[in-house]
Amino acid sequence: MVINRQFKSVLFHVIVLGCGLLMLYPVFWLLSASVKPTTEIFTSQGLWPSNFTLDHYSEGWFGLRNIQFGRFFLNSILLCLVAVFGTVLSSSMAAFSFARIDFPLKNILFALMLGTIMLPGHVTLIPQYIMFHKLGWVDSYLPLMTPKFVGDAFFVFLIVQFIRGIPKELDESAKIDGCGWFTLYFRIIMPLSLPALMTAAIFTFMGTWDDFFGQLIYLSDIKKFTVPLGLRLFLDSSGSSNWGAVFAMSVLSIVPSLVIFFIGQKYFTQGIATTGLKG
Amino acid sequence: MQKYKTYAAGYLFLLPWLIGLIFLYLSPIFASLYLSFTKYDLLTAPKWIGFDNYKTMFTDDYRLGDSIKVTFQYVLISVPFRLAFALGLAMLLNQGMKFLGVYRTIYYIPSLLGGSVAISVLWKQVFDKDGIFNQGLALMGIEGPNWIADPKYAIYSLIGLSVWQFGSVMIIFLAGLKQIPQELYEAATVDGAGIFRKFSRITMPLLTPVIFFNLTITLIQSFQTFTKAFIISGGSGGPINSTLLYSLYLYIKGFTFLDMGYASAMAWLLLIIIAAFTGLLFLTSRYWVYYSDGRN
Amino acid sequence: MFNKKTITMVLLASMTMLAACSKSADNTNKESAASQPAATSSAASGKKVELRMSWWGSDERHERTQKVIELFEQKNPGVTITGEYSGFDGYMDKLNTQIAAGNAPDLIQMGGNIKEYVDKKALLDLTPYVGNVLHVDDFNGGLVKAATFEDKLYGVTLGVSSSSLLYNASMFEKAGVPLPADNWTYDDFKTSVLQIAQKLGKGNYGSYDLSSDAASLASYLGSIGKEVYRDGERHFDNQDLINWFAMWDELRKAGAIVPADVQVANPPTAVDKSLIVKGQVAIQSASASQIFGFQELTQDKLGLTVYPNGPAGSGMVPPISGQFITSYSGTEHPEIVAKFMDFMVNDPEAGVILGSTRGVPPSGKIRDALAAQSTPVDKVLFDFISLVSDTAPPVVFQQFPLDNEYIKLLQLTSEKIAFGAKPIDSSVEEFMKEMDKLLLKAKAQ
Repeated sequence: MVINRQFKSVLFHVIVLGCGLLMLYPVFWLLSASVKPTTEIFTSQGLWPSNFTLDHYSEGWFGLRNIQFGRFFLNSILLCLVAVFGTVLSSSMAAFSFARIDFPLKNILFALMLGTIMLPGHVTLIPQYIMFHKLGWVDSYLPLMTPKFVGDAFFVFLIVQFIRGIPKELDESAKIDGCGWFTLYFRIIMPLSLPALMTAAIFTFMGTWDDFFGQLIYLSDIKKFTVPLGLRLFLDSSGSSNWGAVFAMSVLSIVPSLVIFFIGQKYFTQGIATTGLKG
Repeated sequence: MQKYKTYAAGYLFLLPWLIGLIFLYLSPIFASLYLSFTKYDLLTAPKWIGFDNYKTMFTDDYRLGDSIKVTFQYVLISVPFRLAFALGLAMLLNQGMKFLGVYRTIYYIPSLLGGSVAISVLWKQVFDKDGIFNQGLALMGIEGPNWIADPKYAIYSLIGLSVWQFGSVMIIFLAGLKQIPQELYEAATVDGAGIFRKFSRITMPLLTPVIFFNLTITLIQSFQTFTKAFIISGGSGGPINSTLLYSLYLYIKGFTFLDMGYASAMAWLLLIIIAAFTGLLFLTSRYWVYYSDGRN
Repeated sequence: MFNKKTITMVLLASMTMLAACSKSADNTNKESAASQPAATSSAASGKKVELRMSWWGSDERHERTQKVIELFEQKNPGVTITGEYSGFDGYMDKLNTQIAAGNAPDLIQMGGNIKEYVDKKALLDLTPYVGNVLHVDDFNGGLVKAATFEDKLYGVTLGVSSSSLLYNASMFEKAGVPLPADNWTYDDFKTSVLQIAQKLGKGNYGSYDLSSDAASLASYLGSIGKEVYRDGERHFDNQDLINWFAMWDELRKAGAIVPADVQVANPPTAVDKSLIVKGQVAIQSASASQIFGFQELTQDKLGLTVYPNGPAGSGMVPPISGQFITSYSGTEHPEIVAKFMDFMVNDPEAGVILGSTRGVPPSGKIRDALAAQSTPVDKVLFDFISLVSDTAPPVVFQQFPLDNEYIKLLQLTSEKIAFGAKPIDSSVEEFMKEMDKLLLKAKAQ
């Protein structure tokens, strides 16, 4: 019986880990390519580099004129942190309103909100660019940051679904205790939706980190460049690309998100709802 | 009086979003609606041409039909697989096992790569004729096709990429699973309920809001998938339009062929298609989505 | 305060649509202002001039171009030029967006699609500056013509390149097949690729399938005395195209060229995916100046050669510019812009710094200066360009007006045939129908 259970547990780990590692094959390939000499990256078959080199990392980091790749990391991290703050705040407010408060036109506004994410972004890009240009915001972070402070339909909807999973009796008893809407939002509903908020935070961080097109269109000065733009500096599909540097910097570029995810995943999987209910 | 105070509170919390809607989104949205009735090449002023773009779309665009077909194929296959995969792993990784944090991270890493420039090269390593996937098949004695490059199979490599990056859906499921009060399971155990009973009576019903969310959002996003198709096909949607997802075709029309008026018209057609599907989901949701707040 | 801001915002938002409409009027105004060069030389009056310049390329090109900018700034105090540079991905998208908003850089690197931007009045007419600020007299006439439309000059060639056949010389040697001669014919080509494929065995091919390549088709039509396009019409018929596809089909069936699926998975246009680098395919089509990118990724020896000859001789088009430097019609400092263009192509110091990152420099003086320090790959490129200059017939190549759509159409047709999805004759019929539609559309513009 004991052996059986142990065996099952080992089997579980072997399978989960095995499938996981198999899924990560492309990532291992990326890692290996980043330490292979340039002529070997696309010509050699195996994962293990016959000549190990860290040249691509130093080329990528220090190789650009007048600027280091680290600058792009700082810019990206700054942009992402602001984006996370803005998105979580504004989306949770809207979600609280949609999920818990009754007001006229609510359903229509909610449908309108979902409608805004149904139109492909490529066709609103030009009008939006013209608008930001008139405001004098082009080549600054404002066109990338401001939209984060008005709520993101995706996350509003997500948080709404989570808030609706919280029993409404809580609101009633809070109101009897004399809580206003703001206290209810900030002291009760928000802590209880922490998993959803953390999810929104992590997704916003990664989404912003990854957003090549928006950053490409709005940022021109290399000093303001972010990681996705920095990576493209090595990459010229029409001519010669420094793939080694691209791979090396790609490896580094997933590190911040990885760290954030690893730390964050504890929070959004901690079963906060139950402890909250008990207290 | 109390009623109006409540209304005010509702709108106050909604204020940031309302401001954004009015100043950041509405005018570009209406601009694109206007442009859909024009010929607009980006470089010169738009010219009003009435319904010509819409007419062309339905009568004289041999590529649009291909594109819509491919898009539906992509959506209808990738959405269920992505959701099933994500839900299965979320439940597996929601047990009190060791190293769960590590496992979750491992399964999330593919999503971290997102639309990275490296993906096109990496994906080729997997689905090329002599890629790792076919090497796996070869062990079982099957000779696999060139997944990325064969018009019959290219869409599946794209679907594969979409399923591979199931991490974000999984995370939302995980968060949803965590929100289910543990007491319910404890009580059920006391009542002598088995795993399947717990799953069908507790997990599934309480998870329906999150399932509904994931289904809706994945559907909307899948209809709009652009980056994956762009990166994998090198922006061409080939071979023979087999990966020409709707958004990719729209982009090619708007930015490569400089026909932004037409692209805008295409965007509004897509909006209508997506809205129809989403509307249908919302209509059916009252029959199967269970909310703890008691309103449906 | 809130009120004022709200009102401004509302106004701005509603202006979005109008802005798109009023923009072209803007352009024409600025253009007429630009044609009075004397009025705008602000550097002379000691004012600070700030310019923006955008280009695409690899990190090496970025570095060299920046050095040239710094050199120009040293020699012209008061002028600063901010570089906006990146890889090619998204370059055109960003440029189009900027033009739509009237916010394009003063100096713009352009590729083969320059005509489209001239037609839409997005580029500055440089004619007023030619001879006084901007000197192009020691350039090959064809290069100046390539950027001249209706007798006005709109761009300056940064590097001479030409469509070419890029070959892997090491593979030829390994197969014991003689290297392509300068006057080889389509029969020679077929024999060579068949031999290479046979000698080197499975997984190796004599050539990529070039039936989808617009430059290869143009050269083939030239070699039989036809043309893709001239003056609003196409100049070839169904049978020409059927012969073209049939030739490739035959080679494909003989296993001499890359099969359709392998070609799609390893497109020759992407330097890093091309099988020529892996030593599996011996010939592909490329712009000659791309040889640097290819050679970097392989230890095999690469070479360049002309397209095969036909009954009407070589169908090669004369060397064309790979890239131009152009100016936005809305620039406020056209004269300094022209001065910088001149500096890029004629200043010996700048020329040496830039080297051949954008192809062979157009000025003979610069080429001579570079010859002293050229690498073996430089030499391959230089030799090829002079070979084409000597052998190409003296025609001025006319680009198809909706080039991007034409290229996509050709590729689609070629894929349908290569994958066996549609027989050659009906594919060609469909191609012709669509191409004639494009011609009508181009005329309507």
